[in-house]
Amino acid sequence: MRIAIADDDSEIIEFLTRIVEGQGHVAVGYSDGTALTSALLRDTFDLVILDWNMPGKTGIQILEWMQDAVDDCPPVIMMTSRTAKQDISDALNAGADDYVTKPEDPDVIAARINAVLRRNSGSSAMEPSVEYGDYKLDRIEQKVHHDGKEIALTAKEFELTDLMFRNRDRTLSRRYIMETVWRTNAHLTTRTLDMHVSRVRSKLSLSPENGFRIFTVFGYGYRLETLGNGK
Amino acid sequence: MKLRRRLGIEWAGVAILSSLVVALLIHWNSLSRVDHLLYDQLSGLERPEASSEVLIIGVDEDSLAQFGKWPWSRDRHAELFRRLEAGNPKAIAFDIILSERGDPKNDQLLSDAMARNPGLFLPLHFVFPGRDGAAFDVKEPLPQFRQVAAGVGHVNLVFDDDGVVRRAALCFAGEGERPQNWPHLMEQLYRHLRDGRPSPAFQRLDRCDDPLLMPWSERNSFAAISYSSIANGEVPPAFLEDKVLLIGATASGLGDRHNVPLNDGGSMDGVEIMANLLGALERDDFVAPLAFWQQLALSLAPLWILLAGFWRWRPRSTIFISIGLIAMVLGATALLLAFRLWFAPGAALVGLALVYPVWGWRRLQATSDFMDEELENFRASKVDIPVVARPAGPVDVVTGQAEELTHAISHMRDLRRFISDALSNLPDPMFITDLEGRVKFVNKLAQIGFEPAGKDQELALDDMLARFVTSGDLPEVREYLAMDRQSQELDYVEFTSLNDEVFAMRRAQILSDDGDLRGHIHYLADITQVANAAEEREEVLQLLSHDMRAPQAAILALLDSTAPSDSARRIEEHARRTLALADNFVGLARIKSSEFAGEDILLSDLVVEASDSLWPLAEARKIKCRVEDKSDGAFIVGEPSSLHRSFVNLIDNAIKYSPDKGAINIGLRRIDLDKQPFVSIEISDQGPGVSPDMIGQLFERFASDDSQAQGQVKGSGLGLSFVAAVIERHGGSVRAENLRNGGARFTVLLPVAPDIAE
Repeated sequence: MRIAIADDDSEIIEFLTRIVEGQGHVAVGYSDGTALTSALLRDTFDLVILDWNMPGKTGIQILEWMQDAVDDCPPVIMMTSRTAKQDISDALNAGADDYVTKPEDPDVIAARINAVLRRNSGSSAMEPSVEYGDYKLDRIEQKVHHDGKEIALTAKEFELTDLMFRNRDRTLSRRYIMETVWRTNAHLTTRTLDMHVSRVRSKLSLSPENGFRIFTVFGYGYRLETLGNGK
Repeated sequence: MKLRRRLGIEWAGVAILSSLVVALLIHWNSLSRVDHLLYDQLSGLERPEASSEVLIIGVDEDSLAQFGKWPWSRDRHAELFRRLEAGNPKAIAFDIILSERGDPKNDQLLSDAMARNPGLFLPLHFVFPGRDGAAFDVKEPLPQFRQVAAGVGHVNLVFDDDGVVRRAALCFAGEGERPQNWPHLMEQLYRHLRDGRPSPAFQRLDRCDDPLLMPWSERNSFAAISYSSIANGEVPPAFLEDKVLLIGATASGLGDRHNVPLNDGGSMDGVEIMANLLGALERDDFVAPLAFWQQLALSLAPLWILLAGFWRWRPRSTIFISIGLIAMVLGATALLLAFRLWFAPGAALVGLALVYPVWGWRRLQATSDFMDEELENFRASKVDIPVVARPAGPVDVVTGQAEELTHAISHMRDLRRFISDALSNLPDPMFITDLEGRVKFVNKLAQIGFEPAGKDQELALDDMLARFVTSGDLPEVREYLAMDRQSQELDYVEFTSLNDEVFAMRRAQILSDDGDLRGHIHYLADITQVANAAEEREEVLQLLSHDMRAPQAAILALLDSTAPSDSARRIEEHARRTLALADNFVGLARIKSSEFAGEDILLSDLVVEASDSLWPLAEARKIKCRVEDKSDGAFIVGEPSSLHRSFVNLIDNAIKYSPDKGAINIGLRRIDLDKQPFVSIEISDQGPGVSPDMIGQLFERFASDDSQAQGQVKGSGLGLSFVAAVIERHGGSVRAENLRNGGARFTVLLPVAPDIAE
């Protein structure tokens, strides 16, 4: 896979290049927005990692430009030092596939890159049974086993669990989750979704000790993150 | 009651009443005296020429002087007829009663003389009441005269109620068992002259005794000679040839004189009246009165013109218009009369003359009542500025009211001046618009770069905005002004003027006394300095948030590629501390400058995630972080980012002071304080606790109990003050205490969000 990395800081480009190459991909670095946009017109990439603040064009401007100008637009991960909740949901709503706040752990970044690439390769066939770390999901019986112990879940809880595991390390919007699990978002308050996520978290003991954690992206949605041995 | 409605009712009353009065006056003919007077005057404007064919032979004073006292012996008349016979006149009406017997010899003489005059007509008369209960008896001439005459006719006069003869009945209609019509003597004469054909006027009559208004020739305009002149043979016979002779009494002593409608008010001999009737028959110029409905329509028309005019014309012009209408009615009457039509104008004139004062009275009454009411209201309303005492003095009620009104108006003027002065002297620009969006008043707008176009020119709000708001901000300002803002009266809009100054514009409603919306008042506050300060602060926050974080992120990225070493670990530690410092500082600054924007948060998950996010840190030192959740799924209303950061700070603090392989317990439970539900979050560590002299100021800015920190860990002091600020912002509290068996405990209390219907 070819991955374009745009950042005005050469240290960050090197850092990301190491992560990308460590996963067996090819990385091409650009130090400003203009260089990236001209490259995008001539060249094909499987993923773009985009810094928000760059000379030339800002990340958001490039993101919007890409959706108009680039055919078969590759997925984009926004990566910046900005932390405001509004910035994060703005980027995601503007069409970014994911968002990483600098600084972030190399493993986490690698997992997020994988999640985006995995989704775009469309490879996740629905196996009858699938294992994620110590968790085993039985899609026919709609049961989850953790360390060999069966965990009782309701149908919606299982669907939510399955959805989050299938999209691990990917940020899912509330709307996406509601429409996928409940098939609708009418008559559904955000409290309902919060309560279900909370129950899945506690029933499955989704905690860093067990290699997973659920992360709330405020103002946008949820992400199931894999940690350490959870890959 | 509103004046408009009251006046409408009064007007309708006046209109109906006056119309009714006019209609009844016409119906009852109550104003005949007035109408007669007018008729007499108007008909005098044009009088017909007397016919030269007619010759009156009068028994005058000279004749009486010559032939002695009346009645004369009938041979005197026989002598006359013999003279007339020689002249061969066309016709003769002999208006002298011959119904009683006289001396037989003389009667015979007369009868013989009459017989030799072919066109001779004699009168008959009626005696009221008749014998044997009959309405009247007919007194015909004696048969011997009757037989020699060409015909007889009645000579009754028709008197109007003022005793004046204006009309004539062309026949006398009998009643009862033997109805019979006796044509008038002159009608008989007319028929004789026209080969027996009745007059056109007679033919037109539905009832032959309907009296007809006749025009009158001037008095004495008919040729007349004395009876004695004829009898004495002083007149040559040729003079009488082809004349129509009317013979009757003209001497004043003989009593046959009647009042006629000539302007001089005098009387006229019966025989001259007959001459006039004959003239009218020949000219066929009788005057036809209008029918009732025509009278009514013509009388009501000017009345209603005036009534309609009451709404449009000023009272001063109305009086002249009333007079003009009266003149028009008279003119129309005269004009109609020229066409032989009689319109009795009395009712119309009375209507016109009456309706004006009646309306004036009702209008004054309504206005007076209204003024009373309004002045009462005005007195009841609040008076805001000093009032000058009004002059007192004995005046009539309406004058008094008018004076009070003047006083009230001058008070209003003072108030207006007061308001205008107050608005003009306001330190900030403002303007007032009406409901159509027109600018009615501006104040000091020059200072924001707006030059009023001119005093008289009314600007549309939209045009005005375009003159001082930068085009970029215009849509937002318009959107604000277009909002229906019943609910959010406190909102405002910010814009930059063309002078590069920043204003906050706020709109307030102007309400009438009844609470109706009348317009808006727009206040502008110059917030340039505030806006600039906010902008500068935002720039600083951006610098800290991004530009200070970015190099730290680069340091950490760089370290990732270097071999692990003690100094690398320490550099990473410092970089992370700098990051935390920047985040806390920016967070603290932001929450102090932004408004609270809470959302539903499941508190237990927020705390768990804060704990999870610190897991790598805890794991590195084998510290166990346990969350015990008894919050029963409590939701709170909060700002997730700052709350998350607060719990991260608290747990990070606990990790910082915990011994390696220590345990941190986080307990959530619901409690009630003053019957209000709260969630309490307790974070306990097994560290050394807080030193007693620090415990009171732990949450103040830049306070840090570094003396107790483990190894290399150091706090910036901003972490806990950020926590305190955030929790306070959420309506909660945070406190720190030392546990008996060692370690510190931080307790956060946050109010539970109200339940919402799922």
